Amino acid sequence: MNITPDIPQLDPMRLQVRKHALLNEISQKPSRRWWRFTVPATALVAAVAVTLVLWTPTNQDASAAWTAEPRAPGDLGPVFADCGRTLDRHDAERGVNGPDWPAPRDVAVVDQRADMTMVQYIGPQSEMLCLRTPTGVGTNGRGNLQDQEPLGDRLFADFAPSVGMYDVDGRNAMTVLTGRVSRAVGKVVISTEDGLQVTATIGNGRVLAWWPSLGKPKDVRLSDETGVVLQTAPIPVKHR
Amino acid sequence: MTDEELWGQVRAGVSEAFGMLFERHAQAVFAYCLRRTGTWAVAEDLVSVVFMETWRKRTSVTVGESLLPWLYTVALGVTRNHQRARTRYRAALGKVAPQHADDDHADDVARRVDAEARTRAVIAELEKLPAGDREVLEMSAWSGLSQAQIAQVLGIPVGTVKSRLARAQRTVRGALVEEAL
Repeated sequence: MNITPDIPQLDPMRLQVRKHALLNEISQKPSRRWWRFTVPATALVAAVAVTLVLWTPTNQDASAAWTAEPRAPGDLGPVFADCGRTLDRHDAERGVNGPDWPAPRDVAVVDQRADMTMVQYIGPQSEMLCLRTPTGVGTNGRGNLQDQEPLGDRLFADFAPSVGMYDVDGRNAMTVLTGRVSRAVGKVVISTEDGLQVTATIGNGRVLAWWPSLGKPKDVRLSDETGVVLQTAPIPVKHR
Repeated sequence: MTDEELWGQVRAGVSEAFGMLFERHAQAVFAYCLRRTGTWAVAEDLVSVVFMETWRKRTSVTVGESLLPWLYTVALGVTRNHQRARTRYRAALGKVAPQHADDDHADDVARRVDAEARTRAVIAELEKLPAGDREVLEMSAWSGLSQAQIAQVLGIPVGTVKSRLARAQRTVRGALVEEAL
């Protein structure tokens, strides 16, 4: 048996009809949405569940209180409760209305700044990021973690924006960065293309940070617990 | 004009450039979707879905030499979703008589039915493989992408692509693979 059976050419007339239907469709004005999001292709492939309605028009200036340094964690009970419900919903709809991997339940790292708290959950098969603000909870996750290459001798890996979003008026832009670091690393500072210096939160070998712009992460400076710089390196650009 | 140049126009919102990319790659995407689904009409519809999704994400996608790796990425996700939905409705669909050449356009219908029959036989054979191995083998045999590009499309390391491909080849050793690869 030939694994690549011949596929006949599409009928040229039907192809043109499809093309014009497509062009008509995309020329329609998009419906008004208060938020948009982007995710990298790798996350798309790994099956992504994103439900973000975090900042609504009732909270126009949600990024105003953002700080480059994360805040010390406060009462996380309500955060874990809200995020837990979202994970439960993921499991309830697993394989039907969503990806077919189980929601992870172990908390790796928590990042708090401005009005938003982010919790990174990890499990044997998957990882999920829960984002919580006073107006909503969203998640972004991926499966196939078992295929992830071990960190080995590297000090960091997989630094990439995992969520970026902004509302239709261009306000409240934000980028979330996730990644992995060696246990030898005590501090991570991200430089972005638009000049921000963001100190990430580290926990259990995971890194978490966000900043109020769509500026791409450019460089990372890794230090140990005593402040000795271990490495300064560009953050590889992911072509999607 | 290269894909990269056309994509630059697409990102600026030029729909005509997107139409040119559609004409250039629709057949390749269609062939992939047909081989994955085994149904002509479904594959045609999925081509439209793939390009709609590609347009929707135009501002967040960077294209190198060719748009095809990204199109295969989207097509993989779209066909996976289709398979999930099909699995859910399989019981109901099983009660419906299979569609055959009951159309008036005999030649065209025969051509389609032949293609569907061929692809379904391949699908039946490949379904014996684990999903991960199967997707690597399919991508390797049907897309013309390099192993590095396949790794990018599937979101897995190159080493995993190599090991899965080798395992898939061992599993379906013989006429099936050696003819194709």
